[in-house]
Amino acid sequence: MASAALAPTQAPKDEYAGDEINALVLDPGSYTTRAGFAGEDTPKSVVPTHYGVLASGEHVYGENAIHLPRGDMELVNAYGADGLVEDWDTAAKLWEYSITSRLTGARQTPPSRNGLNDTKDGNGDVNMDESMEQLQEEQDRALAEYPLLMSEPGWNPQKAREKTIEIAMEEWGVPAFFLAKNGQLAAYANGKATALVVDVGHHNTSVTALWEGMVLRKSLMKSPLAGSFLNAQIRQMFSTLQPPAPLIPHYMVKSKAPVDAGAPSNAIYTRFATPPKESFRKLEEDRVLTSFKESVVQCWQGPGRLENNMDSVKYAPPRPFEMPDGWNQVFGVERYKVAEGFFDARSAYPLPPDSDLEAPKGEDTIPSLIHRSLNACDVDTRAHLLANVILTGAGSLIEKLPERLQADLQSLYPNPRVRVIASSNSVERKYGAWIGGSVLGSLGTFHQMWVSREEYKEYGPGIVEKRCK
Amino acid sequence: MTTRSDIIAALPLDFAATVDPVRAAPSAARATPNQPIARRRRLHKKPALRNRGRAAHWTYDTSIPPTRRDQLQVRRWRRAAPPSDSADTSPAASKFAKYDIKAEVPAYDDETYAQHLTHPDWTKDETDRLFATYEDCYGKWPVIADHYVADSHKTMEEMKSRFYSISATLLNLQTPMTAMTASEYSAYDVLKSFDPLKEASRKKLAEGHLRRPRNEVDEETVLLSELQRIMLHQNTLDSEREDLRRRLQHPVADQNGYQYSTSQALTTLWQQLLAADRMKKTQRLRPLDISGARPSQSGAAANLPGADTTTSATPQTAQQSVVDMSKQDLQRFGVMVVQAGQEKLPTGISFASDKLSKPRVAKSSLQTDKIAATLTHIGVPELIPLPTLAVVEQFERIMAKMQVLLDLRKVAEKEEQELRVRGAEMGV
Repeated sequence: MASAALAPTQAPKDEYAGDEINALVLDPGSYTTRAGFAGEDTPKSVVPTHYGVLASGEHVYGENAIHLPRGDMELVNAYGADGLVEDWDTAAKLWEYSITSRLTGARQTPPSRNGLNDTKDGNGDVNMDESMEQLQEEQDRALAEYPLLMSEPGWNPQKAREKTIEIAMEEWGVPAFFLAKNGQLAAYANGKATALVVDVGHHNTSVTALWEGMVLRKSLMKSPLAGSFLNAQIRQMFSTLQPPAPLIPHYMVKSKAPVDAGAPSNAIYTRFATPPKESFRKLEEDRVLTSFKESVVQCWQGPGRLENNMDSVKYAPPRPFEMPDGWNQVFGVERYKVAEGFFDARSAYPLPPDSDLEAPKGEDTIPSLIHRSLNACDVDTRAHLLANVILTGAGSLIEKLPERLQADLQSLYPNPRVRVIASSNSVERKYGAWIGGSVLGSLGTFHQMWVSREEYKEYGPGIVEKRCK
Repeated sequence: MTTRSDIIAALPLDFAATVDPVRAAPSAARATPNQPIARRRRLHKKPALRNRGRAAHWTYDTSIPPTRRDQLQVRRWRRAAPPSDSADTSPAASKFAKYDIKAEVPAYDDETYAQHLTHPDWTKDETDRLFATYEDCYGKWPVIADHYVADSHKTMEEMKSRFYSISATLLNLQTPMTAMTASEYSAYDVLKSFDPLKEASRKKLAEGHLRRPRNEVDEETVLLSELQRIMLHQNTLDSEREDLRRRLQHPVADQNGYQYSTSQALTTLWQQLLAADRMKKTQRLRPLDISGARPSQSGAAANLPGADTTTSATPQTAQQSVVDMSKQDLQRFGVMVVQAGQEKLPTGISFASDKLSKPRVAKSSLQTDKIAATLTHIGVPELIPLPTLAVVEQFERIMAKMQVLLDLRKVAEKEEQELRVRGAEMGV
């Protein structure tokens, strides 16, 4: 039996298992799309998943294009709120862009065909048409050179998986393809084969149990309490301040002068002939909120809930934050309160009625997600899973979130040893799934798993369901 | 126009000297590429960021992983093998082939199924699917229980029980039980002895165990370790008791079996042996010369005091040269003179009062109390006012006797305990 040879958490140490096959790893998310070569430690290409639609109908991709304030651009995301692709054509284009923009450029033409050695005609010109055509063709098939490993959310339906392999095989012509689940990859990035992965993303927080490298499907749980939920909480907190805090994104501010804390801002705003669209403003506001999350927001580290520990929080030093327009304030209890919704749905800020998010439910909080997920697993696995809780995803980069999760889980399961593993390196948390893909794709043992073109031709897109599980 | 030699000539002398060897080294390396470059010892350390030696050569070649049935060509970067060692020319992927493992699944055909393997709760289709899932999940039961899709809900125990019973039946069909080897039989036995009900109740307990409060678990751990200690102690106690009883209950010797019990009989035996010995060429036994033996013993005893005086005389004269004090002074200052035959004095400084108080304290407070009680009983005061050498010596002698007494008492108590145990046993 395979399991007898190796303890679940132990890796064979005596052998270097790497293999130098260049494979591409693509980890598409609803907020950013990560791509790079397998075997590297960070993705070389990180592209926002939002794209701009110009008035002419042209799509523009990439950081430089979408953050340009222009009146004729509408920002769209190809993903729905459940973290699944809705607009397949654009998503495929965006994925392709994320790979080709940074990773696979046009290759150098070999000297036999670059024209320099050809015989020149009377005017000193060489016939370029043929080689140009070839070059064009090669650029179109830039993805045909490397095997491609893609990640997917655990709840990806079969149709979407088949569509993905179809795009990879038919449109891009990759020689080999594999589809792995996010949670699985994040566990590999932490060197664990048995783990309970808590992935806090932008739209969704998901919990995946992994047993000896294989995903337990029934344990898959997800909830909308993730990065965008925290954004909504912060917005709500800003609007309930007295007076409400103005959320002015950077592009609106032309110049600013320093003001006292809490005083109205003293800034000159940029005037646009055709002001950018509302979707653009929302995205830019989110960027301000990101910096707020990075510098101010903190979880109550436990034990117990925030509402029972208000006293100790009140005496903690407040943190200042300055908006792009110069308005600034110190945040005391509020900076704890916005993140409390992850653990205690009742103490979250009530969302405004026009919000597109639902009010958080008690069963959606991270501890109860984990609880539900564990209940779907076999009893014997639970202690092992609790000893290997991996916290990953960019949404989890809130100060003291791992400590709080540890405290809450330990009080939920007093007896078994609970260990929350969260890398202190923010890059490893942000790109956890991609790094896992990079590890997997560079393993010598992995190459027997690829779904090759021949197999795809023989069995059709249905093979993805059979092979990638 | 200035040439290089001009520039070097214009520079200080030592610079010209340092430049040349550096330039000479690569050219030497170029001449014999496969030879290791003999490094000269340098006075200064090389800068850390300098490239040493030649860059490794890598090739980008195409190969097919040998474990694949299709013709997937993957290109991999490989370190170009140096020409000298030809051992590592096997394809890079083949070393991973051993990891391509499959779960071992017993196979059955329709006929066997119909004959031996039918079960009221399981259809053939469900059983087939269970076996396929087992293979897909490499025999990891938590995963199988998760991935298995059935028309009716099946618990993991039901699946395991079904799978194991089929495996056992197939194993039995393959090799009848009488023809099994030991390992086969043990596998068969394990498969047969799976009890789904017991397993289910165990899981129920395990589930409750997850939710127990921490302090309860801690307390249980402490109690368990205490119990373990007691059990360990019990074992040694039992073995001691066993040993004691074995000694006490030796079989009573048969009177006929031991004929030389009286001194008369012994003398007869001696005479017999002596007579037998006389027959031999080399005689090992000598007749006892009772009258001759006595004086020699008494002579040795008489000699002893004389020998003592002669030997003790020399050290004393030597000592007197070392410690130049009168006898009264020696006593007064408490100077001890170690004689040759005596044990050595302990090194370091010790206070006389320490010598009086330390032996009173034993490891256990119970023992200390006992010592104190005995001392008061025999009239040794708690505080001895003037611990002269003689007093300390006397005290130590008393303490030594006391230790013996205490040890004896311990043994006696233990024996009494044993007797009581035995009495209770007999009474029962």
